[in-house]
Amino acid sequence: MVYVGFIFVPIVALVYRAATAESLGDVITSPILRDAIKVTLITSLLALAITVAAGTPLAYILARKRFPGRDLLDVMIDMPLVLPPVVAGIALLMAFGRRGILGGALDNAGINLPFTTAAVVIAQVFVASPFYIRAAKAGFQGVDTSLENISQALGVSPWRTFWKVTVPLSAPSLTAGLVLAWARAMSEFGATLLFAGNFQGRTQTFSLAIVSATEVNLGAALVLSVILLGISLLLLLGLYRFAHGNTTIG
Amino acid sequence: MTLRVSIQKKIGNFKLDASLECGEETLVMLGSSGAGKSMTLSSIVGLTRPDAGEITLDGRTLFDSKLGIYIPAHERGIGYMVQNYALFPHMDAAQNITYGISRWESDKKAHRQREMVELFSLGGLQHRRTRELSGGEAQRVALARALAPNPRLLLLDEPLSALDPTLAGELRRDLKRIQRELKLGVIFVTHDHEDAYALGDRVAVMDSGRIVQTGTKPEIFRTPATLRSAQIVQTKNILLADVKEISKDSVILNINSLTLEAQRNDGIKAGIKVYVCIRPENISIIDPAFEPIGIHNTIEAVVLDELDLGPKHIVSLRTTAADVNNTFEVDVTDSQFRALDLSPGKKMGLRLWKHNLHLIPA
Amino acid sequence: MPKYLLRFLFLLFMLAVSVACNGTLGNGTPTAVPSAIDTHIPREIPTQSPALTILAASSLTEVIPDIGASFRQKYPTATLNYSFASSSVLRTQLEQGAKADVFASADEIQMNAAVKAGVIDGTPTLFVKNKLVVIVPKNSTKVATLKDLSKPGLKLVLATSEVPVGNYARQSLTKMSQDPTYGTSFSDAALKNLVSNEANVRTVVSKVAIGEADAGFCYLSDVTVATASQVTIIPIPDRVNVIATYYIGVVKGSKYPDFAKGFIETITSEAGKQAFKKYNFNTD
Repeated sequence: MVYVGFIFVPIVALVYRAATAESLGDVITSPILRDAIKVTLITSLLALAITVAAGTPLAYILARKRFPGRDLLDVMIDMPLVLPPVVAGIALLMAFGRRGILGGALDNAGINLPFTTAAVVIAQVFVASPFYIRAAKAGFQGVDTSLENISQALGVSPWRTFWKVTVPLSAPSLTAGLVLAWARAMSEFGATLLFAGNFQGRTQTFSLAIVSATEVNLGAALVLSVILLGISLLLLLGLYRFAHGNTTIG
Repeated sequence: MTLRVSIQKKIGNFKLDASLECGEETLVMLGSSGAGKSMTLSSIVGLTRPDAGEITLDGRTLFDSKLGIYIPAHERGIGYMVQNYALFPHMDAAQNITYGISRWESDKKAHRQREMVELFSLGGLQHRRTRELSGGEAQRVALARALAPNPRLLLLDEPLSALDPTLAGELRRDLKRIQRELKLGVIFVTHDHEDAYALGDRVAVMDSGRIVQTGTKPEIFRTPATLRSAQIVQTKNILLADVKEISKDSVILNINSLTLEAQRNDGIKAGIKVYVCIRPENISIIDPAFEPIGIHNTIEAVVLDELDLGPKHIVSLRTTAADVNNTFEVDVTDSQFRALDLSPGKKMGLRLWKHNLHLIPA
Repeated sequence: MPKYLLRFLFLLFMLAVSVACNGTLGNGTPTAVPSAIDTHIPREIPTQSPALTILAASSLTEVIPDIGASFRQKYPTATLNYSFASSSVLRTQLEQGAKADVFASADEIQMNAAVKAGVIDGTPTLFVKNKLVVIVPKNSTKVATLKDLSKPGLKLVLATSEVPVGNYARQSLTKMSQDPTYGTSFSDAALKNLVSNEANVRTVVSKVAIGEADAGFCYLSDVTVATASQVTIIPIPDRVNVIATYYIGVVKGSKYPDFAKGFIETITSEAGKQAFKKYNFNTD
């Protein structure tokens, strides 16, 4: 009960203060809000897609295969989790920035990442993907390999076995990983600010808009925060509904 | 249906080097755990890739290291069943059964499902979740699933070890019936010599990655080729003896002051040492009050203890001769046991039938 | 309660935490100064060893602790706790009831707002000025003079217009547009090159220093000893410059108003002036 109160009181306080803020009307109709929603949704969904596409095979390999350097790779994947977001942003600049390790090569290819929407996506993938990979790996490890073996012996290819056996049986973990990663991507702030900057309609996500708003008027920031909470709530509820409709695991 | 296997694989210090053939029969692979039985099966089914060798099924090459052929498991069409059954927990019994034929036309699929349900008496269980099935039911669902795609070869990896004896007995009967009805080749892996007795047309004894002996049931159980083989088939009584002389149809053996007579056997020469193998069910306990002891392969022995298994008793006895310190294990039926009134400390006689002594050069 | 709802609440909590954490980090409420302990909770401390909480604009991060050292020579029993952030954030914190003793703002607007909100005791003092400059990465050839700021394709970073330095930078650009040397379209052309509104002036300097941005506006004092070797300073003539005026005042409700006044006296003393000069501030 204490714990539930601990979560609820700040959120209720936030909602209450936002609902009574003078700037409520201004914020809801402002183009800043519309742009922030657009940028946040586009970037976080792209980041999620990249995370799933690249992270799923990686998680599967980590869960199933033994190879030299596996433990090191495992730890490396967790690094963004312990890195303060600001440091993550600096690290991304050091790697992909104009004067970064790969900056020259990217520049020659005509790619200039910092201050672009793509940079927002990269920052989000960097900080959010470990949440998904971690959960997916644990999920895959929980699936008995003898089930996969039997499936193949029954004439089902490894690829179809993955979809028919491995994914349904690890669905709860995969969903949890997706939700965590998405939540982290949407709320990402520190790395984005450093790597992608803060520009309305291009790189200003919801979190950045909130922090910019705190500079002027706390009320506006509160309203934005509550809208972000509301959107997250709807998306996450939807995702859970979807996941529960698609798996037969009780 | 003919399967030919000759494969080698090295994992760490373990070396698998197995050769076997299987036709329309039940071949039991018998060996202790870690002998390489499961690895051999998983190589045949296509889940483990051997380092070298070849595997052919009805003339089709499934694996050939020289030609670089390696057909993956899902293209081999071999039935496979493992110890824990590995039923898919997110499907019901019927979905499990049709898993391997999911791409069949729905009419054919439904028909096949009905056939399998009937063959394995699974009526009424189709919509049960796998965790709601009893051990025996889960077993039969797993078997139905493995056989639904109509494989010619069925591989069973210790399928009875998780079942109670009654169910194990039922399944042994089911397996025998199905093997004959469907004209299957069946390879049955077990560490239990009773499975081998009950099921095997032929038995392959496996030890430390090698198949040490293949033969019919009587061959394997009565005339094991090596000491290890004798131990694996639970010979129990193995004595080290000197060959004193060989006559027209007999071998005379000495264990210090004790003299035994065995049947003549190629490869046994006077002066060598041999292991004398006697199965516990092939020794008779006799009452010294009625029969003389010390002649015709009879030995005096004292009852040490007994283990009551219900229909049979396992009795341990020690020879009384001062220079022959051997303990014998003898299977006795319940009625014999009561007739002889065997209690610890009682002096009895052991009769070792001449034709039941099997000799292995030491 | 259904299981997913519980799980969901947990996630919501995580979400809130991560937003909150990031907010703090990005705001530049720094942990960089080892002695900067944020103490909003009044503690029971005997009057002979007062603990003063100083809220100061980010641009004062280096110089204020330096002057604090001379204050402590005069009042050896006093303890000083600093909290640095942009003036607007500090002003908001005060309005929300933060306990502090001294507030040093980087501009008149934020100080006036604080006075108007009734959180300042007495009249604030103007204690130092700061000039706006343009910085470019060392060895960069893209921007040699102020006029180059309007060249298309350039990457310009400014602090967001809500923080004083961001506001001043835009005012300065407007002044340039009104000056025939630059031309009327100068400001618009330069702002077209704007790629990011940074939350504070420190990250403006950082992004120029590491070469990600081609130019940025900051106070002269923001070019610290550490970054001086990585940037080239382009001065802005006084007629198109916006001179920042720093104000300091005692916070209403201070437990040690006398010590707070003493601190402000040290800031405006000759020793204080020397320290400000050392850090490129304008004490005229």
